[in-house]
Amino acid sequence: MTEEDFMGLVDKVICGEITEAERAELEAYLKQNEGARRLYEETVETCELLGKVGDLEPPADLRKRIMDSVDATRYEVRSVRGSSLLGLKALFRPRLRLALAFSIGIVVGLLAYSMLRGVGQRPGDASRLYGTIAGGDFGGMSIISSLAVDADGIAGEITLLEAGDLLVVAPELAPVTDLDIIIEFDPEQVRFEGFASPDGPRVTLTVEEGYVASHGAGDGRYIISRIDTSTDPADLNIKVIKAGRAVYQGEFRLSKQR
Amino acid sequence: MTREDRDLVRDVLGGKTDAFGVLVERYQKVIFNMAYRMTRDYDEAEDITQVAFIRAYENLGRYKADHKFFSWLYRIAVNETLNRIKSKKKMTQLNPTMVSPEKSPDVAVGETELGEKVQDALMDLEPGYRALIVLRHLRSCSYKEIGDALDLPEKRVKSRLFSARQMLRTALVSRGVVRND
Repeated sequence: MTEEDFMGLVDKVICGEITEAERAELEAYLKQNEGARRLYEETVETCELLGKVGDLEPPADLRKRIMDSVDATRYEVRSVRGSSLLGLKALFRPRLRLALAFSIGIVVGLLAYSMLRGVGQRPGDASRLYGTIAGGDFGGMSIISSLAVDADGIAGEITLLEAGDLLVVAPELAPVTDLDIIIEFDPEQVRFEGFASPDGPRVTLTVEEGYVASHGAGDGRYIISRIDTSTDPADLNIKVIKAGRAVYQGEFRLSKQR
Repeated sequence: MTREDRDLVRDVLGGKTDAFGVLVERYQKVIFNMAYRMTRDYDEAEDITQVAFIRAYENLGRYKADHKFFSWLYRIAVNETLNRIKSKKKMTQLNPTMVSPEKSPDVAVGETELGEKVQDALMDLEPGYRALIVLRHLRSCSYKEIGDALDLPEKRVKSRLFSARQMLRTALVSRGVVRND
């Protein structure tokens, strides 16, 4: 029995999910292994003690206070005044026609401006890179919660200057698409769960834990979902080879390298 | 008939704010107790619960119906709790004279003596490990739910939980609650 199997069976005992066959297997193992038996008994005792911690009742007026705090008009359904035909008719009024033409002009102008800016953007421009970074206090690890860009495929070097307050990515910051940042690293220095890359060595950080998204980026490179490191975030220097599109909103403290 | 969470969410997004009240009623106790066991501060737990629900409400448009609403809410609440613990730790480091608030008397009454000692030992753990114990053993969350809440792969949840239990054991021993034979 591997350590993992043993842990799994102990957990099943604690949660009352163990089958008769599994219990017999566990008992047989414990008979042969005194250390494991001791660990098992200690774990069971610890978990039984946790059963002594009961539930408390929240304040009686908590629900009311929450409901008083939410903006009741936030998801209000706006009623449609008049029929769509009336709406169409309104478009033919001279003043509205003028306003509409003016608005279209502004939109077209903005689009043209942004396109021209895009043409002038250098490939190494990371000025639109942003994300959320956690400070280090999760099991002694610093956690980079996310890195993201707000545009399709920009690349450049970034330095993490300061750690934010988010320990993990908050749901409200969940990406619209998969996180899509590609970095190069030295396989000798970086350990990721479940994969090794033939590429490297380009890394400037030591990563203790982390995991990648379910898909590779091709050319032996992988897409990083999250990195855990005990390195001071201020010392991290990640070479971003290519960044995909991922839209985040919220607080971030990430700055491009100067 | 009990309405499904996702139906209630749909109602809220459709302008029926009262439906959110049903979700609050359904989960406030769970969220509150998780926050209390993490912070051991009744007022803080109350505040965390309130903020978590308000955040959930404000971001309800981003909730994906293929996920459990409760898991999503839990994640917001756990994040809020961990952030507060961290902020408080920073503040305490900046101002060492600052002490943690005492438990309110009514809370102490509701706890057994042994329960209090176990909670004391729980507070000795790093917040990340404490969260694992609280979610698994006090809130009966599945590995997947814990993984979702803490942004950890399930495999890592299992291994860290095992470590967390051993740390708790050490804390219980050092506090004299149990002894090592």
